Amino acid sequence: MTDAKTLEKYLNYVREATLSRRNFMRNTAGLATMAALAACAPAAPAGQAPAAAGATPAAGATVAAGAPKTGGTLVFAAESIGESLEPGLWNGFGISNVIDNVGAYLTRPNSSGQWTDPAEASLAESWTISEDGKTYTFKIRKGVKFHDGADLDADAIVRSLTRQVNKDDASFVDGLYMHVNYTFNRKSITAPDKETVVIELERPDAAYLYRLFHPSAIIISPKALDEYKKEINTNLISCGPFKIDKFTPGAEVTLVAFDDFWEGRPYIDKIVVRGYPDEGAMLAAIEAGEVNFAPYPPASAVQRLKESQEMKVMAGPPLINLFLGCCTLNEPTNNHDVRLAINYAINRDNVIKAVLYGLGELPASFVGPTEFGFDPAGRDISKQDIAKAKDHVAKSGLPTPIKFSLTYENNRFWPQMAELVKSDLEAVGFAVTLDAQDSGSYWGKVNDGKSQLNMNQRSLWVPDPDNKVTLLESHNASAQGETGIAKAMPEYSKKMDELLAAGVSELDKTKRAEIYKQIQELILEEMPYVMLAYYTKPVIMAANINDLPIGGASTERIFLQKVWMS
Amino acid sequence: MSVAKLKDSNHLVTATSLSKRPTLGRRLTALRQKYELALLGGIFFALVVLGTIFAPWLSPYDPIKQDIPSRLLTPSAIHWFGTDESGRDNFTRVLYGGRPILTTGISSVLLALLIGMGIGTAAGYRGGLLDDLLMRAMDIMLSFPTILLAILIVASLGTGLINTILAIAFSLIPTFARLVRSIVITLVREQYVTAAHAVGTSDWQIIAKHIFPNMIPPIIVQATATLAIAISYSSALSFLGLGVEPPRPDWGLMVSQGQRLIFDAIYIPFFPGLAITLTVLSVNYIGDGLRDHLDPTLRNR
Repeated sequence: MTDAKTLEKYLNYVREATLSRRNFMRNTAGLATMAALAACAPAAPAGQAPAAAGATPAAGATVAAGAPKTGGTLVFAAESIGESLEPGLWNGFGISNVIDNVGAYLTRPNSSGQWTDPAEASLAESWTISEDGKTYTFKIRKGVKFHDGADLDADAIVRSLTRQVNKDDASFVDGLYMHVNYTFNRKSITAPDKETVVIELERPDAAYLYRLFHPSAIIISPKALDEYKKEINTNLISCGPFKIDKFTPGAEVTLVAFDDFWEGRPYIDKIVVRGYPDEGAMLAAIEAGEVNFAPYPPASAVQRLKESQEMKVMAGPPLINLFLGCCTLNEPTNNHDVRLAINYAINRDNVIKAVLYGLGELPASFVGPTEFGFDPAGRDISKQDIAKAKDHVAKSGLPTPIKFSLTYENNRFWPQMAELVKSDLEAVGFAVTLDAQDSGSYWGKVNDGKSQLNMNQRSLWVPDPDNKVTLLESHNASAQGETGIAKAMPEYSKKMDELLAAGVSELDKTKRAEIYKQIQELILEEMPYVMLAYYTKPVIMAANINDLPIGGASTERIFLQKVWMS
Repeated sequence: MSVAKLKDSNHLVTATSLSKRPTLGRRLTALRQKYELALLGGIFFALVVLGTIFAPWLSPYDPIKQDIPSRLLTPSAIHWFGTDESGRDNFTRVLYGGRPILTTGISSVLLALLIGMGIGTAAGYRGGLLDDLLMRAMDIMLSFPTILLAILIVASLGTGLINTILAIAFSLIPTFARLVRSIVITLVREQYVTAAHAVGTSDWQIIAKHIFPNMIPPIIVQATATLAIAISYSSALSFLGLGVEPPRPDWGLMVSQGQRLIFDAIYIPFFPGLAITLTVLSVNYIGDGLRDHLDPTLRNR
């Protein structure tokens, strides 16, 4: 078994182009040793379980690089650390990464590491889904303990999954909204007994099992909710593989291994998650060896760090969409020809080469190339065509240069991206004012529908095509302000809503794929969003860190339970 | 002149004095030695100013136009300071990048100087309640860290060159107002001012003819020192994204955009950073030299 695993790991390294000379030597030696041992050793009796994690190897055996080891401290460079741990609010990627490792959900991502593979059992040991796809009955795992010693039961699950919408809950605060991922279509949630949770939906939802491992669906200790009430936002107690040792709002979170985790203690002893909003400071910390795990590195440093002996770079599938939002509430982006001209003016190859340092792909539409429902037809529309762009500028009937502003966040690669977009747009008859905003102001302006052209990204936190295209659903802030289609284009918005509802409710895969094709065609037709690239987010880590599930990490979901340090 | 011909000591003294009178060359050498750093600073600052003015003639490259195939080229005979992430010539951008910094620095100091002089003169000359009110207002402004005040103003007014000038100028007003007030308070007690009052000279005439000329030397020294600060503030605001709009080159913005490349292409943030440092240093040296020359207490040291 182990040699097959090592071989698979070796092949993964090759596939992901992360094979350094050292890793090659190490894995080749490991494979050779395994092959020799396999040839000499007697066959294991059928059904024999593999050695427990962390167990001492048999005398004389070589410790292979692939044998997980307990211990070590992971110093994690997050892009920020928010002021609160409240899972019902957006507090930045750093906090969501903390939640994913402190928390546990009813379901969890597939242990294959492929982000879009089916969801696995976690706190729910098993489940059944009714024939109409509307009723989910979950059998709750026994013997699970929260970090404060309380026992998990069905009531605790129901409490956690309703606290964000229940004004009577002691921990409720106004403004929680992240729960919409799993409450929007939910009719009821009940606990008929201590080991069973039943969730009824208004309509079938093909993505519902995925939605249950959204960070907002973390299961929190009811004892802690009663004790800390609204201050659960600084005292988050769940039943995940790590527990919070210290939280310094805005700066750092320290996690330690939870010995009583239901699946066994994780390998790493301690994780320090530190915020580095400044990419230069993050790089300096990596160079100085102050951090050994950086899932949000500047793309510019990736090539050099790839060649380093001490570090390694991993990159999974391109799960993140980078796009321009055309706010149809305002001129001139309410003009169809203007939106089409913007689309044809942009040279995506330059975006991928100059801004993403090659870590991206030519986009088609909102569904990525490794995701269910991908339609490659849009790739032709994403190719730069200056003649078509100029033609649409002329057809728009607006006097040239057509003036508008491009609003973007003044961090990461956005300023450089904005300059590139401006340059391309000005070459075909636009005059673009760059409107750099800090993160809070950006969202305020964009969600209020006060931007013209805005620029943003969408990750695949819920591994289903609905997670991305749902931005256009009329109740969503994106449809209200980012593109404004809900108000400015009611007919289009209605049609989109119908297709989105049909897509997420359809359980037949072939029919579902067809619906998502139609949705993508509809996006390309009216172009409320202009795609820039599919982004392959890299992760930089010390060479001795192993077994990171890269699928989730490619979309900012980082699970460290099975990660270990050699 | 032979010593034998000089019989008495008076003759000797006169002759020695004559022989020690410095020639023009010696005086220039002495000045150069005394103000060596100021001279160097002046030459460098002049070069910076000329470089930014004549940038289009000094470089064949466009500072804004992107050239992706030429991106991240290391310094060479073709691209002296290399090229940036968008393939633009870094030397050209450093030349052009001085324009907003110098414009902002000089304009904001002049504006602050004008307003500060007005406030300081009014407060020092009138005294009483007006003095109290104006100086308390200046105290309030001084209670904010200057750069924070500038950031606050730019954040409220919006980014852009004009707003940056206004923000920096506003934050520098108290420096000039307080200095001018202290000078005016000293000057109004002088006998020639009292005499001018006695013969019925108007306040405006007294200020224009007797007070203003006497405040010029310290103000020039203060303005030069403040120019260095204004250039630093301008760079800082651009670094924070509150200065000129990209892709226009600006030293602070270039350092900011290049900081993440510090380990991969250090030449991108290094040269604009060096330009800021040397320009501020040169202005400080000019200020020191002017102070040494214009301050009678320091002149003969």
